[in-house]
Amino acid sequence: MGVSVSASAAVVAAGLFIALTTGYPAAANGFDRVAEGTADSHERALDRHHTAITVQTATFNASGNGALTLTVVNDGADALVVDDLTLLADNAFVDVAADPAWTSVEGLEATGLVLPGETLTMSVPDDAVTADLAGATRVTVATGTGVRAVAEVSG
Amino acid sequence: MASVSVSHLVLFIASLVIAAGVVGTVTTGVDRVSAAVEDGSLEATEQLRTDVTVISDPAAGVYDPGAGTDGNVTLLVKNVGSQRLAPTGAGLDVVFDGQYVPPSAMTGTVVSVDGAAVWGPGDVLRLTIDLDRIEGVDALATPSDHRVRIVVNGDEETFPFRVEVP
Repeated sequence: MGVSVSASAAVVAAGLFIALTTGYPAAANGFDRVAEGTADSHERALDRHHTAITVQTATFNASGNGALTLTVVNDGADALVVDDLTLLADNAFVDVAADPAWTSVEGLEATGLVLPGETLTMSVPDDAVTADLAGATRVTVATGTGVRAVAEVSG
Repeated sequence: MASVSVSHLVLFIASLVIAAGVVGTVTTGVDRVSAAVEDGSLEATEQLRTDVTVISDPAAGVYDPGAGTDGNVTLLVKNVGSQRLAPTGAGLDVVFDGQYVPPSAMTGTVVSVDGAAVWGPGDVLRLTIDLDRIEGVDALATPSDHRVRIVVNGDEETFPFRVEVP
């Protein structure tokens, strides 16, 4: 009788051990995944809170160059990456990243960062993009975190 | 004496059979729960990593009355999360003024990258909603207020806009 109990207990113990070795990795990996996703989500929310921009001026052909020129001030606490910015003229996408010469930060063309307090100047020639910049009345600048600023085009 | 040994043997075999049955049931159950936990965590992660925002200017003319009979509404949607999404906008659930927009009534194109295979983080999708193909929606009156609701992986965005008098 004692042998029966011991043998069946051993079988159950072995089975539980096998079940645990299957279940634990799945649970641990799942928990890790969700924890990483939550941290990622919180990080993005924090970045968004630290981001603020203002379109100070938006003009077309002000200096007779046939270009849409914007000055954008980084009012936030985080640095902005120029390539992450999105420019819309009315409701048309303008690929600002197509030519690095179209953007400059505080007069410097060789940088892709707009530090807090700095001013980014975008100057996009109308004939170099498919969007109709000459007829645009409003522009929108969106950061990589989705923070937007809009302005009316003058000139 | 022999009968005692036989009965012990029967009990021994029976206990092993029962133990094996219990183990089989438990391991099958644990396997099912593990698979469910795996699926659940993948889905939860997708939801946490998905974040899109409509960056179109509501005052910049998102409605084009000249397209087709009832016109088109074009929205530019930026992927501000870390999840890669379908470059055609497949997987987006869109509701226009309370009417479900079927996939056949909308087209999506990633405009920030030429020939994009995915709608990646930072990329902009141009979503065009063909009002001709939405039941119960006619050409938009001027002036009138409208709402577009976009849901992707549980992330919800509402974009209100007004059609101005030209």
